[in-house]
Amino acid sequence: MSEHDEYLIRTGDPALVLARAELARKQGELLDALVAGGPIPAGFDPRQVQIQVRGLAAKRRDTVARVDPALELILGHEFGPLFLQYAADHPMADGYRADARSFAAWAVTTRPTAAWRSALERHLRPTGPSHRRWWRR
Amino acid sequence: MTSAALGVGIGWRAEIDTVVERLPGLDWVEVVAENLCTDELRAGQLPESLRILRERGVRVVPHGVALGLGGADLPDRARLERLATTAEALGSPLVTEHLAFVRAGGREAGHLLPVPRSRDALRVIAENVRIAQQELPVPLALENIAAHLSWPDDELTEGEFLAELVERTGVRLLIDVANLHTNRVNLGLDVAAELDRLPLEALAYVHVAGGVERDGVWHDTHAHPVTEPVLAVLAELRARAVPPGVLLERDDNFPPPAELAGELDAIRRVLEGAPHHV
Repeated sequence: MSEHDEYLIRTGDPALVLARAELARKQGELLDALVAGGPIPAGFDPRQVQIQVRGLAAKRRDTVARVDPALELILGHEFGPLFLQYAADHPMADGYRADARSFAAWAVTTRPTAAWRSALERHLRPTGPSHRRWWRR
Repeated sequence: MTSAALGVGIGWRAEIDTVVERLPGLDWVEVVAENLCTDELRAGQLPESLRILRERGVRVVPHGVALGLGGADLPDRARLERLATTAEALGSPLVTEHLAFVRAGGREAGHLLPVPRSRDALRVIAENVRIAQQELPVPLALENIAAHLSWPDDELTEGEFLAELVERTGVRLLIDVANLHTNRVNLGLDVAAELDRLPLEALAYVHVAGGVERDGVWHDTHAHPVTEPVLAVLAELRARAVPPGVLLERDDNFPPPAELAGELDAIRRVLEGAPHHV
């Protein structure tokens, strides 16, 4: 039995259990709109939601740039716009390091003729970003 | 708080650890709880800089950002346990988190999002807070957040919601004056009225941070200097209650040490009731 099942039995307060389920539904719908391109739930100000969408994507971009600084070194000024393009239809799945690699793989495929493509491919090789010093080669 | 007042402090960040160590008159630091390795803490190892600060009697308060007590799920036991371990290892007088949700439906937001401030949500979140309090070895304080959107379900202001949580759970408050300013610019919040609604007798400490306004939207970046309107909110709060502690948050685009020291001095002047100029 899961912790959640135990909770449902222990709480003995159906109204509270229902409130929890309702809160989960509402927060799930909003988060879907904010990070996964889902529809804006009824009653929200679309402009406010758009500002929050951009805010979360920018935060994600900055965090990815921090965990894998090579991305900005390789992509230069293209990193920011490219990352936001990627983030628009790739919700984050497994943390920022995985996100950085997933973005790099996407960028290689999306922009096959870019000057940085081979550097980014080298960066993606299985030894991983923390063990390679591509810029010293 | 049962412990003595915290005083004026700064957010400890690895990038500025030696700068923080040398700031004159620093009373305490806050450390982002998720940035510390709990295995090392359990083994009695602190980052060198925090060890030095602790030896000097500088108190350290863990500040969590990923617990999501405003979420619909029960508080995660493992996260709570790590927070408890961190507080014990650092000998902290309290731990702090946010009135926010950070994940839902298997997705991570990556940042703090406002909760719907309905009566039903209040019951759920009060229960989450009680569960967290049971697991933590020291008092918990919750922080108001910077928001870019409001829920159509809102029946209470954030201040009223926090007041209800204080009433129901005895949780303490961390009031971020930069976040109040953010919500004034972005959502039209009446800051003075909101300060009147907050039960400031539950105040543990105050956050101050810099941000920037772009196209009529305030971005609470923690990467820009502290501005006059934010210090003015601190002064308004100070006119209602003397905060037991004030903490400057700077997370990025770090300025020279003298500039950080200057911002701490500006905060001290506001606390002393002097006219404040940035």
